[in-house]
Amino acid sequence: MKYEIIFSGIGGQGVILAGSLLGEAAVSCGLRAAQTQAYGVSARGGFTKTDVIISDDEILYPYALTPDLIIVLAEPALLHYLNVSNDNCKVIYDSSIIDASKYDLDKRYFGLPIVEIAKELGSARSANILSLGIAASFIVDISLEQLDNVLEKRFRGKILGKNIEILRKGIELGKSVALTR
Amino acid sequence: MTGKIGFILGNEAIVEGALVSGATFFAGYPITPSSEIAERASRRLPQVGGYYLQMEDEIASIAAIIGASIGGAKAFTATSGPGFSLMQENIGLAVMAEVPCVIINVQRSGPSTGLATKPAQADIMQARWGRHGDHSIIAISPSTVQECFDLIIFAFNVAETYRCPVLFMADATVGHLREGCVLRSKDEVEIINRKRPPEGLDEYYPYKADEDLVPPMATLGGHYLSRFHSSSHNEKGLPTSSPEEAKDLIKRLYDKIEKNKDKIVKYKTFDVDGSDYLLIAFGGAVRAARQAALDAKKRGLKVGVLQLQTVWPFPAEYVCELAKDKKGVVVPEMNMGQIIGEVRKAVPDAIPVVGANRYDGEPLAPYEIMKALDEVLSL
Amino acid sequence: MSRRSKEVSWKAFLREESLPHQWCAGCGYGVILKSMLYAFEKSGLAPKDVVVVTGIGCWGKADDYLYTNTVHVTHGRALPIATGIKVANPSLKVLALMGDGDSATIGGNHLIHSSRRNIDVTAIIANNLNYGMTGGQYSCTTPLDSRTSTSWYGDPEPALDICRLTETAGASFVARTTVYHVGTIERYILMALSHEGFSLVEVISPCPTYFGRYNKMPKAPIMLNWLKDKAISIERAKNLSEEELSGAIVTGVFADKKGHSFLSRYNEIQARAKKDLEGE
Repeated sequence: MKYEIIFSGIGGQGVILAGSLLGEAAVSCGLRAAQTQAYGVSARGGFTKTDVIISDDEILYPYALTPDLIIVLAEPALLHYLNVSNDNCKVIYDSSIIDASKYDLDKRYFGLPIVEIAKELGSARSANILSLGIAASFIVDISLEQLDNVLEKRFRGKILGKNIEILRKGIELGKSVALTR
Repeated sequence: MTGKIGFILGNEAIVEGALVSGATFFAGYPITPSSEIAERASRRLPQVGGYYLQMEDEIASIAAIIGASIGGAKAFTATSGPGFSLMQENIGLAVMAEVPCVIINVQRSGPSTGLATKPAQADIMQARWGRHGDHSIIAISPSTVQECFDLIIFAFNVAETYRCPVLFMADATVGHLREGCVLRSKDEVEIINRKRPPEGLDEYYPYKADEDLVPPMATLGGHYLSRFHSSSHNEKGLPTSSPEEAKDLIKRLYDKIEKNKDKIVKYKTFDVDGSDYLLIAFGGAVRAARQAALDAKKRGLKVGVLQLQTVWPFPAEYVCELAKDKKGVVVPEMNMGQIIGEVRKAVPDAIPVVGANRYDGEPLAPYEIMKALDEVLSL
Repeated sequence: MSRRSKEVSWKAFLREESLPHQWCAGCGYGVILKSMLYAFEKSGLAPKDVVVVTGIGCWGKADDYLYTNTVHVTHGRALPIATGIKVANPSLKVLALMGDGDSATIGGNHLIHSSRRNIDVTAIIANNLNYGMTGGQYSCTTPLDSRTSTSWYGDPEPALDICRLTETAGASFVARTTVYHVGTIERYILMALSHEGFSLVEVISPCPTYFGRYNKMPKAPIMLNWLKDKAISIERAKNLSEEELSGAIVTGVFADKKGHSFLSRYNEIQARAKKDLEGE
């Protein structure tokens, strides 16, 4: 098995963190993971993305060539992924931030109000953790226990509790998208 | 941190490996994409009784690690493009004064300030020839996070063995890559410390070499007085303008690396036996090369990969041996074609050698190597 | 300053086999060297406890004549190298011997930051007001309008005051004297050697071969008299106007402060880091 997942957005949204948490959880589950990142000259505000490759075998090229899933949290990132070549790829964009009506998107593209949902659950800043949940739901071999573990290593107190809740919501949302395959 | 698997950045693995090597001193000046090395070093070193010094520039940084090594510490610095250029003069000092130290260059796109956050492998010739004057140099290049950890230990070991600076030529694709990495403990790896002179000598000659061409290095403040010298010097460490002494010194500095090449050169091969074509790569480009070889296999082509873990000294004889019965060689690198020149010099003229190059700040992709392979096939 | 027991004579620090030295007749560097050796003797240090780092220039040759640990390095970089040695091996007494070119011109940035860092190193700057070794070109301490081999029509650049600069930047011991005032050289070096933190002694020295010859002072006695005439003690200088001090060499102790040196501060950092590690 091999998954290629991209988290994208603009600097400051925590997409790179989402990628590294997913990779760390995968490694904790005995899988291989490689996470790369690309960002502009400034770390904040510009297009940012991270590729996460998860496999049960040695990972050679650490960048996504035929992505299975792309999560898009900002419009500049969507522009980057308007012409995805992989027919089986799913692109989930944040419909609460991005007005997608001006783009001619095919059935591989799904809008989910990611920031909106995170806000409703008490932390708009945790849109990246919601995204993590969505991505994790695509990979059956990653356990919820290990995902919780990496969150516990990263966060403390109240925000940890919120993120654990938001992670679960993300997984649930991801599964609903997966069903529409 | 014994034998623990970490999911960490290549840059972070470099620091962890350096600590296992026994490094206790880092001096540096922050620069993208190497800054995570300075950041982790600044947190980890004082925890183990070591020192992190943030210097006024890269010239001071390399100077400080040379001083620290003279003082008895295992010392390292990390930088990227512009900083590496600034360090060149004092890397030459470490060569001439024979001071073991490790210089990490997380290569980024240039020239000048270039594309500050983007990867390249375009400093690999600078690594060989960046200083003035004749000398040889050791340069190592990791392609995985695990190699960042394992090869930095090797880098300290060869620096200590041969009393010389060692250049650790990472690049942004590896430095900013997160992967699982086994963080081995001190007991699980071989650690080499610099050779000391025997006790009870009537007089210690600081630059009198043993048979391996390496002079033992006395403990500063110990029984013997030490002398280090940046100018042409004799065995006593006193300056000389004698042509014979100057020649002997230059020759020994060169030979101590070139004549010990068999012990220094490190490489890996993948499916080279019985292959028709050979990809020769180092650092981040190895990942794309191995993927391309796998993709080529699906097309029915037999393609082997030679990974140069040490790029300098260049293993010309081995490259020739490996390539001589191949139908063609492709050299993928994230530059306009640097190591390909060494490969061309090494392999018989009849064998076509084609480059797969990328120098726009983006990582080299497997399909680009495939294109170069197709070019070889068409010849 | 009381003389300590003479366990190690000044001669023990001198590499007599390297004599005679290569400095020109009338050069002040032999005087500074011997004053330093006297200071070593009085300090109670042994040769193996001392590391002398030298750069490039006439004063950078001093290590040839020393029987201590010596490290001869690239132009301008003696201070960061001395910094590395001291931090790696705090039990050693580390000195950086530099000329005006080495310390303040090409190495000016390191001089500022070594002062600010208050690194536990002693800098002994022999300032002969020009680049002697390469034929008498102007340096950053060459007096304004002086003639040198690269300022034939006068040096267009004002001179840098090394002591004022380093004092402002945070050096905790700073003193200046001249080769004419020979007794004070040893005294200031001895004070510097026993100081915790960055200590600096600047000695203005005659270079009759170049600076002197180009500026109508071709003989050592003329230059020494010039130094004598130009020197004004820091105490006297306090009551003089900027105009009155123009072209003067202010001598004396500019700074002698007790406080935190780099190493004492870093010990605290290590203690915090170890606590952090235990808490992990």
